[in-house]
Amino acid sequence: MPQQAQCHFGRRSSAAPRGNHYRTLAESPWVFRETSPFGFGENPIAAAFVGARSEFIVPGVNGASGSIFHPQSAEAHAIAHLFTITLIICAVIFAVVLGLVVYSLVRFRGREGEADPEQIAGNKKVEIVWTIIPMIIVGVLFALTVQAMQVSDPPLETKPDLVVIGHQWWWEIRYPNTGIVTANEIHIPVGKQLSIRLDTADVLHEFWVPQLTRKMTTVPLLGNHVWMEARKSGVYEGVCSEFCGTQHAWMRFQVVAEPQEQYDAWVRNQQRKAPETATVAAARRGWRLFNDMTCVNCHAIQGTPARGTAGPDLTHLASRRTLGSVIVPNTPENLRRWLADPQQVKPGVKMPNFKLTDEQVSDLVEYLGSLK
Amino acid sequence: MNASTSASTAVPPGILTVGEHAHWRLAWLSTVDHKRIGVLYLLIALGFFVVGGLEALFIRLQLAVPNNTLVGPDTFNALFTMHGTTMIFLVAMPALFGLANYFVPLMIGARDMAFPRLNALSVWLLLFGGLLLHFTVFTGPPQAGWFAYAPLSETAYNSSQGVDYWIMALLVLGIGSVATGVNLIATVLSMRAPGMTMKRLPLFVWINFVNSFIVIFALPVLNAGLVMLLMDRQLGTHFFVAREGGSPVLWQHIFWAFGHPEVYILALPAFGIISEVVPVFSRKPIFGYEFVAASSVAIALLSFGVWAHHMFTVGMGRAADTFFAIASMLIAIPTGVKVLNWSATMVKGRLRLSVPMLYAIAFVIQFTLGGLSGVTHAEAALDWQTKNSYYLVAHFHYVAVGGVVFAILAGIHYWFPKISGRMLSERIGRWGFWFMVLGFNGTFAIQHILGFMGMPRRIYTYPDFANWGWMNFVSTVGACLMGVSALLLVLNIVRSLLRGQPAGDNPWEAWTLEWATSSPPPVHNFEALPPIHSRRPLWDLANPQRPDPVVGGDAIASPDRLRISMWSLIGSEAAFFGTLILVFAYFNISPPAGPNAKSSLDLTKTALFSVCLFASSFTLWRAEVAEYRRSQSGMLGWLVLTLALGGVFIVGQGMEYWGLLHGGVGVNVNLFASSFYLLTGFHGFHVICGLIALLLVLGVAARGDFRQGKPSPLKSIGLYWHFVDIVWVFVLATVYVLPRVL
Repeated sequence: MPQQAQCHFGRRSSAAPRGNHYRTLAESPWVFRETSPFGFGENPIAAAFVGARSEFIVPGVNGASGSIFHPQSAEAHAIAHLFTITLIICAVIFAVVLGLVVYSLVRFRGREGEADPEQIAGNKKVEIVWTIIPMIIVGVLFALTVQAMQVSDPPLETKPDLVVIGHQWWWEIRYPNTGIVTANEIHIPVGKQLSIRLDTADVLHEFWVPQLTRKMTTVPLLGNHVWMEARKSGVYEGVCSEFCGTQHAWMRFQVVAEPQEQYDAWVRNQQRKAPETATVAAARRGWRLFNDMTCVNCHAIQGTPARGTAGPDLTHLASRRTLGSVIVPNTPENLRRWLADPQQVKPGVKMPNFKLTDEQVSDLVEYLGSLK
Repeated sequence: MNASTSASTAVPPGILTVGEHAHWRLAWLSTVDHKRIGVLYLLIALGFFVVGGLEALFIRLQLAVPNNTLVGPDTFNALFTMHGTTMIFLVAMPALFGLANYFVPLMIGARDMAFPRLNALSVWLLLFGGLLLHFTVFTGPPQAGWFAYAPLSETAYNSSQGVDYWIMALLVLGIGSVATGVNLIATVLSMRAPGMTMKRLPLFVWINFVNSFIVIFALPVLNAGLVMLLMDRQLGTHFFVAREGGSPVLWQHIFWAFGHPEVYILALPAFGIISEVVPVFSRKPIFGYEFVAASSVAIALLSFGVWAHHMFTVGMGRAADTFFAIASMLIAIPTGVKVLNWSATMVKGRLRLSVPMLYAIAFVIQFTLGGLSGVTHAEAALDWQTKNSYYLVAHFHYVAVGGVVFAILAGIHYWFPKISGRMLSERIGRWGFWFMVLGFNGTFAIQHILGFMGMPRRIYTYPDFANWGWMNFVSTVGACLMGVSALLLVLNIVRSLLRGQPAGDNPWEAWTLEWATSSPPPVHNFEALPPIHSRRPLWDLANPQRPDPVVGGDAIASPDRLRISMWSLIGSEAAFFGTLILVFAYFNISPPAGPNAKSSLDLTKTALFSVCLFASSFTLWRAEVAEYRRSQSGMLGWLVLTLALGGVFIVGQGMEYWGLLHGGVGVNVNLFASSFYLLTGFHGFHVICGLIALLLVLGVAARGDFRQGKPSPLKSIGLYWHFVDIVWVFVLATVYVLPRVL
């Protein structure tokens, strides 16, 4: 029977290409701690070039973290376009300054014992010209900026399609129209412009998906919003970019953009409530553990009495790609490590070490693994 | 004079004066000499530079490879918080203040700063503030970043005392900086040598003068915010807690209203150094003195109107974003003018590529890059992508290191012979320079790209995305090279102090007054000053056949330094109270739930004791008149009356507090109460300070004529007292009257 859960997780990981970033992500921090007293998991030089090797393809578009210069939405595209123009103008200005300096260095190098040159103290005409030229450049750039601001940040008209709430250190994702609640993984249909309302449960966070949308701070009670859209299907990397405390680094998330049918299927699956009881004995024991221990104080599982809101909703935990805000892939082994001691996987995370026995951990893994 | 010359040839030149070798510790501890204080500033800056540099190295080592565990997340967060705070407040500012302290009086031909003892207070406050900040090693360091965004910096999320010590340290440093600013303004305005008119000031002096105004207006705003944060943490108020009616965005406004001018507090003196070094080593005067001077003023003015470009992503709305975008982009114009002026100074010169010039040239190029990436941040739409990314980290390090630190290094290499009397080694200097250029650009150039690829700042580790690993590794290697350069600098300094070539008075054949005296200069700075008719007196001296054209007339105004300093202090205090009044207005425009101005305050009673305060301004004026008429008894009488009226006001305010506290209106009840006590409390504190000052005057005056032919201090204290009364007019209107009318 454990096979079933195994099989389920197996399907999940086969959905992502083999040998993807999971292989390196799986080497989560505690692995390094065990292997190296100096903090470097392996030869640092080799480690430094790991990223360049092609077999370590990350699940983002083009196998990379995603760059603001590979925009996949109208909003991000407007910004990338303005950026390109600005960088060209800046390059020209820089070339002028560098040219002047290099020209002087080559042409006007002083020699030992040479008399001082003609003492030119300035030239009003030249000064006025090079005060006016930057004014014109600034004027042009400002006009372009206003234009880009309109495209990349349209006003919010209707009620939001998505509500994203930052927590220390994970993202709560709510879909008001369908009632779905999930965490750290935003599923969207390809080619649809969605409005997202941003909120926070504690400190300031910042929502940022470089390829899909501008960044925006989550400020309590302010009701900030962004628009987001993905033109191509794929997995896009997102991150909290405002420092928010201990585990700011691992407050990542992923945006999974799917064709409409796949997205609809995902919605249908997410709308199912969790089964009242599990069919497998171990999972049943896990379910009882979950209810008897304090898990329910923080976590909700729709369809069961678990109603906590401090931690992520776990109704469909097994359907998610990662654990702990994209710190490790969602595999039974990683879930086991997490339950055995969350502090080792993600130091400082709000979930304490419950000092579960191996058996209890296995039962919980079994149960949580059944929440597809 | 002969004796001193022969003595200084017997003992090799050094920063210790002859005869002080025996008790040098006491000489340094008790010094009020601007040159020694300058050296103390530089030494403190160097000490903290080592600390902040090690912090930076640990940050970079942790980030050298993905998923690294060299330091844990909390340690990392403490490291970058301390690194930022240390480098800005304990390294860059003190180093620049140190150079200004040493060279502003010399360059204007003065004997010392306007207020030598205040100057000593500033430097010891700096050391005390630095130690206070580093005391957090024992209490748990602050982990909220150098701008301590609320609510992360509130007790709920940062419960260790680290943030409290951080606040206290910054308050101490802020007060010391304001004192330095006031001192520099008074020095430049009242201490200039005959012939050194404002139009003839060396650019380093002029820019430090302009900069001092930014210092005295910007730091008080930070102090106001720090006090509010401290009240939140220690007294349970909620200025920055949204769910209790406070506003985390308000902290950002206050912090950056200080924080952006602070960028120019660092950048402007750096421009000043470059504007001295580039001409001397190009053997030409600065191209367009007037434009460089005027653009500094433009930058200073604009710097107060652009703070919210740090906040393009907090949701200020389109109008505010657009306004601050164009305002920020405007700064590019005067800054661009400066860069072109430095470049044009080099054109048609005879370049001498000594180490100071190498640093200056690198400054011009790197600062241009930092300025250009600054323009991209001013374009709000671009900032929506790059803010808080490594692109931003790269940008401000190009300004702060590639610009400011390189300028400081240019300045240190340029002026070290004057300070120590010995030359630095050109060879070690060149090695240090190339390590620095390579290390700096290696560290930060590549971070632009990491930012484009989505790497946020302040993360203690990162996933193994394509290219992130090797790019970060390159960055770390660069940081290590910078470390080598820092070691070479220390080595060069130590080597030079032990057996450097004697420098002579003017080793660079420079043209400003500091080179007209011996190296190091005597305690009294100058034996005799050359005639000053232009901006380059030593050029005129060396080239009598082609002197610089005479600039303006020779007559100089030397206003009373006491009054100048009091006006500067008043300006600074006005910024402080302005912030507090705005804060009160912000929280009370729509009265918060619970007690408010209308329900809790008694206008009649307050009006009564307000009249006393206003009357005290009148009586003090009468005292001044009596003093002017040399009527000792009249002055004493009016002074006593002033003290009595001020006393009545304080007692009245005390009674009001007593009533409020007994009526259950404690400081943490709601934001009306918090902002009320904050504003009126600080005003009351200033009244008490004024009373103490008046009491001192009274005590001295009772024993006879205290003026002894000097300008009367009563006038300056009178200015302060009138100012405190005028502040009360605004407080009365904002707190007591307007809430009733609106």
